[in-house]
Amino acid sequence: MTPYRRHLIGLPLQRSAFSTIDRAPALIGMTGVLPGDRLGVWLDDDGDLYLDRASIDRLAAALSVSLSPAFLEAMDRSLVASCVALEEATERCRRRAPEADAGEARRLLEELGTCIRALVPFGILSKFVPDVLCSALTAATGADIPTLRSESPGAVLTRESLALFMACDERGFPPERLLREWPRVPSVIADQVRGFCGTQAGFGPLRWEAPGYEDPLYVFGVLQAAFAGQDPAELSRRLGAGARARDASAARGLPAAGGELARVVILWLEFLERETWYVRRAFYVGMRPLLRRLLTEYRTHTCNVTAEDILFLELDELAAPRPDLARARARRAKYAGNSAYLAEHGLVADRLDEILGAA
Amino acid sequence: MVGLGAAPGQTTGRVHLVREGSLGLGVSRDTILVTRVFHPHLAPLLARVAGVVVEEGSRLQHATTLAREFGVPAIVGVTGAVTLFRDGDVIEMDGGTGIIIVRQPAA
Repeated sequence: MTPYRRHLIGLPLQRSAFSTIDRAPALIGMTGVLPGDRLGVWLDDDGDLYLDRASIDRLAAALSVSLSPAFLEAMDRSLVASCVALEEATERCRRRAPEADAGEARRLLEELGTCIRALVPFGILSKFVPDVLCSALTAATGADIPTLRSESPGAVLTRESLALFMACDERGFPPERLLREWPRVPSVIADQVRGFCGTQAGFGPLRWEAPGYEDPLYVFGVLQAAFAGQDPAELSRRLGAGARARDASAARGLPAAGGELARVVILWLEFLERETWYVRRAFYVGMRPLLRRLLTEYRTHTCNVTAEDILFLELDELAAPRPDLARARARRAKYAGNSAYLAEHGLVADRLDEILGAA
Repeated sequence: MVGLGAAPGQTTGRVHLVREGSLGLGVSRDTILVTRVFHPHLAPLLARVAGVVVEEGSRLQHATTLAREFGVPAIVGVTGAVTLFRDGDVIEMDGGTGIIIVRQPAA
């Protein structure tokens, strides 16, 4: 069988978050459609994602004739609850991490892992549920893809990235200079950059070990690629295009016949913008400080444990007081030998140690 | 070549293949980004480029919402786009019909 996505997730810690993706149908109330209510989807030990197209088609067909208002409302509630639970768990971990002892750290990590695992299947569903809903909306009302209710997360990110670019540029620090001199820059700039990275942590590639907006050097690269030499007037025009489209859409209102359907389509469109963000933010903001806490504890009785080792444990294994280092290192060796994966995603070896090494 | 028109508009530009780990340095107003999946973290690049072509098949995805929001023509579901095109190819694209024509292959 050919993978749907080859080399999707390589890091065992992240891969273990995908262990319940086959239970996706129940999350949206689609029980009794597939054998055991299990969707034919799995991630193998090489990080390749497999999808059984027949089971997806069967679920999509059943979904398309289940779209009653009550069903839509229940699906809406389930999706929103999973997103909110993960955001709250992430914040709880961030708040508690500085004071948590090892026992609390493990408990918080377990809660966070549960919330991540509950959200990840929605990412699989997002590959076809929005299309089913949108097709039903078009069939019922003739309406095209609805417009988001507010500025999309990507547009907000762009606007705030531009603001950072302009603030640094005005002080004589264009991206190329930031790339050259970071972190030896004036504190006012360093504070602004770190604040931006903290706020935007979560935006970045799907793979946790690839750098994203939590990393100042990555951000400077984005600023350089996107804004250096750019005409601010042209950029403003583009950023304003979304607002004009939203205004026009709001003036038209949602189509009466498909109002509930349109609302749920928009909800899924908004989720599509944030599905990676939720889970990546959970890792960098919620999980990372707790992993550092566990690392300190592990080192009190296992002196040779490295920061890298911990990323080769699985979520459930973090609950154990002592890590199985032999198993973690066997996985690590396999990961390091997967040169196709590393090359495809531009991953470098010392990045793993940096993730947990620096406070 | 035909994909799914995801955000309307016609444009001509030079292909820039987006690879993870390289952000697309050197993109400009006449760049057309070609990528397997377009994730929201690449949004700032969309504010600069002429168009975007995506391999992933669904009409409803990150690229669609962002491209529509920024008024950038987009075509999705172009199977094998990142291997079919080369950096520097000049292509014409129609985000309404999903049609892509190679006007001048890269040297």
